[in-house]
Amino acid sequence: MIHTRNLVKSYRNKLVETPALINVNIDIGDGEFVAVAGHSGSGKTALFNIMGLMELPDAGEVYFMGRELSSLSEKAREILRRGNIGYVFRQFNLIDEMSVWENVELPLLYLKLSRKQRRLMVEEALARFQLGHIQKYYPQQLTGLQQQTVSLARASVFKPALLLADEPTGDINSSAGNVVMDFLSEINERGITVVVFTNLMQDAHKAQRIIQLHDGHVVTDAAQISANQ
Amino acid sequence: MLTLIALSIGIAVSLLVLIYVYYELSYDRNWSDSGNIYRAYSFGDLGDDKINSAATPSVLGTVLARQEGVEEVTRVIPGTRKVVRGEGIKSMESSFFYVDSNFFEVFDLPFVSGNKNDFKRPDAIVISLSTSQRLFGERNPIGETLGTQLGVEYVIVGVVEDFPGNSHLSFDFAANWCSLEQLLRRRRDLPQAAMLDNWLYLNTYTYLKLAEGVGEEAFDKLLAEARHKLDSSIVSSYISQQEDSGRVSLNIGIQPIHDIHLFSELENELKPPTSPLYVKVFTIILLFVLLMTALNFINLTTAKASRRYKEVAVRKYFGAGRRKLIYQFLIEAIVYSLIATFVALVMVELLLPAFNRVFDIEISSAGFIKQPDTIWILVLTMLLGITAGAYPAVFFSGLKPQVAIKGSMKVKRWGVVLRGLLVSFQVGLTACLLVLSFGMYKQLAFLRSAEHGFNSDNAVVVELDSSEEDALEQFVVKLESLDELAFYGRGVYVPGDDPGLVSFRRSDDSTQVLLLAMNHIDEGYLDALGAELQAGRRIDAAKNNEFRQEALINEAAADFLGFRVKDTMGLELVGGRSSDDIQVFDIVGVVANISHTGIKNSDRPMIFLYGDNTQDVRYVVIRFKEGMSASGVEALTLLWDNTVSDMHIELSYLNEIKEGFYKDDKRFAQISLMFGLVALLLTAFSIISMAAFEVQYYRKNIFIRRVMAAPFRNMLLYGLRNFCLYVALGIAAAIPISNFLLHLWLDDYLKSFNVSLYVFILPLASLLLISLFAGFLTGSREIKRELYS
Repeated sequence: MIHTRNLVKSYRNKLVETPALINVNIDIGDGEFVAVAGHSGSGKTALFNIMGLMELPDAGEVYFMGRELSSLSEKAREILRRGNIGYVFRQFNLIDEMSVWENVELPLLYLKLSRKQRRLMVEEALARFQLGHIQKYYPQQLTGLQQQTVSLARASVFKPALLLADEPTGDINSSAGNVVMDFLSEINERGITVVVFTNLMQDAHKAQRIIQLHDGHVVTDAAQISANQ
Repeated sequence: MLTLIALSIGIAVSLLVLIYVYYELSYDRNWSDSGNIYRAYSFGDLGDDKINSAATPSVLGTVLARQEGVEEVTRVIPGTRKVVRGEGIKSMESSFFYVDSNFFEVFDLPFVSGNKNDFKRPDAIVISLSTSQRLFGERNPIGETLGTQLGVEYVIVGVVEDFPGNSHLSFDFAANWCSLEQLLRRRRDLPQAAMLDNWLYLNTYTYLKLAEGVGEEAFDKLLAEARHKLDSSIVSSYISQQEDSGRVSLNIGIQPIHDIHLFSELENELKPPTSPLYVKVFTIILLFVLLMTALNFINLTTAKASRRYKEVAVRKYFGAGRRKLIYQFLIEAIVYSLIATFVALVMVELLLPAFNRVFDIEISSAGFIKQPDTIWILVLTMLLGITAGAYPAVFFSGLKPQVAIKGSMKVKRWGVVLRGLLVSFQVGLTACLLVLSFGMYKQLAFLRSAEHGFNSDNAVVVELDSSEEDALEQFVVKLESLDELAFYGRGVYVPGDDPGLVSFRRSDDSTQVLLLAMNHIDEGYLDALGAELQAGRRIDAAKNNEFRQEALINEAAADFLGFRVKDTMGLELVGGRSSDDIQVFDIVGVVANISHTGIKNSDRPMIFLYGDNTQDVRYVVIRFKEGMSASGVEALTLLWDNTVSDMHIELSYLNEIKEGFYKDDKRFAQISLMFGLVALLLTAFSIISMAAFEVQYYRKNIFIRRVMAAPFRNMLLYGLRNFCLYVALGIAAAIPISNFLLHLWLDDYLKSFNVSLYVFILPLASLLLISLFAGFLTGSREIKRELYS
């Protein structure tokens, strides 16, 4: 699904250059459920942005669905992203002026689907995540767990090849976090590759495999034997 | 919602001002081929006096009609107020005109009924639609007969639409001049008969339609060949010397009718013209309002867009292309503009009646919609939407979503400075308008309180309008029986009238022709008006005979004659209204200047004579005893109703007449204030946006202060310190500009109030307080929202 080779990424401002990723090599296959764990500043966000096709590395190669990305223009990456990658964020990032229904529908608007097709897909997503009873509500009327659930529905409504979740449990309590991780497992069981970026080991342990980052390096990359397996 | 309201108000105001400007510029353009229609005017030298009049001698028309290059000549002669009688009709009418039979060929007013070809018959008369409805109701007036006091009978041959409001010409009745002409030729004893061949009898408005391709310049050349000198019959009848024709001459010029309303500086206009200065001022106001609206819209749109930072980031994450986002923002802005325009049109429709009243124009909403320029404002609205939407469209569509997703937009320093300068500009503009309007009201108060030469308190003017002459005489005699009466007196003219000019010469120097406004009064007139004698004595009527009379002049006449007030006694003048009416006048006293049209205009040299009963005395001035005006008016009305049966009393309070002198000044002060308040409203929107923006900019520092338990007041002042500076900058810049504008305005007046600091302090202090209040209220709300939610 997604592979990186000798990935290097730094962030520069007027005064300093901060290395974020140093020679990172990662292979994630189709249908995997992977956790990328590390403390703040370990390079998770940089890796999230590169895997999410939002940024290009300074050096190294990135392959997504068999295509090497470093030579792609922003427009080409945008097209590639569309319909193939779903995103879940720590702060939910729902659009306040849109209802739950409209938030879940948002990614479908860019996929050249008919209104009927969109409606069916949204209904299915809402049912899967048990959001039907709040489909007309607005984000500010929902709890944190409900908002993140809507975010999950939005990220998966179009059955992406890859779903990236950046600290999806960061802004909710631990029991709600467990629910979110369970939803992510469920999404993965439908064949969607899921990569969770987290600094909470209890969340990382829910994945099949944990890649640990430290100061921009991959420290460990091992399959996880979960209690369920 | 704030954006929509701001935009709607701005567009509505712009539309209304555009309507006014278009209305003023479109005067007299309703006629077919109006570009070739001109009006003749008279100018010349009569000794040291100048003639510059829209009125011309009646004989001019006959001469012009023979000129090469002239297709048509038509004349308009305003008649005096007269009673018009018909079957079941008796009405005092003041808008009765005599016109040539080809009038409707030149001014193609649509005929509602009847036929314009029938107007060629000598006894034809045409009435306006509103007059027809007023006098005849549902009845068809065609073929009906109307008679006047002179004994001439007319047949109604047509009903025309009322003259449009933007026309310098307007009448209720248009009678064919032929019948009056025939009467005057038969009755040479009538004073009006002099108009038939007297070149100094300036009472006719002469219009000519030039042939295509013949312009003003070409026509002037043709006219020079046919230039006539003064009719010397008036001059030679009372001088023994040969006149010096170089010092006595009457010339004729022509002006396009399009120029009459805004650019005519002639006297004796049929309708008071508007100064082009006002049109220029309002055009500038229009541009400013449009500019402020546009800037506000862009400001508020970008501020609103910044709150959608995160939304844009999410859309981009899920694959929204840049082009799609650009279209989204642009379309949103255009739709906003269109909705605002629709709301603005509704506002215009609702405000139009009040607007017509304040601006003294007559635009209907149907007429407004027909204006071609209205389409342009709609086009401008679309452009406004595109411009306002373009910045957020381009900016936000280019955002890096991975940066934007983290939080709110980082406010840049230049964004704060730009908004600050915008606020300064708008505050400055508003300050100028408010100072200007305050100054206008001060000037108005000054004008009202200035010495006008008469006492307007406790006095009324009754117009002696009735066909029952005996009843009128009885009414005047019975005035003495009123307990409330202090004084009464009669005159041909009263303040508010523009007395006609008559030519005189000094008996000891007949070379100089003097034009003085003449008023026939009685012995009670000056006391009734409260006018004071400055020198000499009152007229002794016993000393008057058919060849010699005593007269009074005013201070302006004494000055005009080159005498000090006390030295004019014993002065003799020779003159009269017609060649058969030449008399000698002994000046026995000097009256203080009585203002007839307000102190904006210089006092006209006047001569007062005692009239006898045969004079055309139109008014009686009645002064009541102190505190008895109300009961006096009641008693007066009762007396009139018991004495005169064919007309209701036409009564005006002298202080209302005086107020009427400054009707235009009051109107413009109101308009200026109105625009000042609109500018204030638009500025308030900008201030709200600026204050919110600045709090965002200093958000982090404010938060730190909060953590350190700083009092709220401290956080607020810190967050808005630049805002205060920008407001102060705007006000400071406005002081010299508004001072300049105010003096520019006041230069138009002969007399004006002393401009002191007070004129600036009150409006500017109010503006400062309002701005600070709006800013601090918004800032306070924003801080609470950011830090405490």
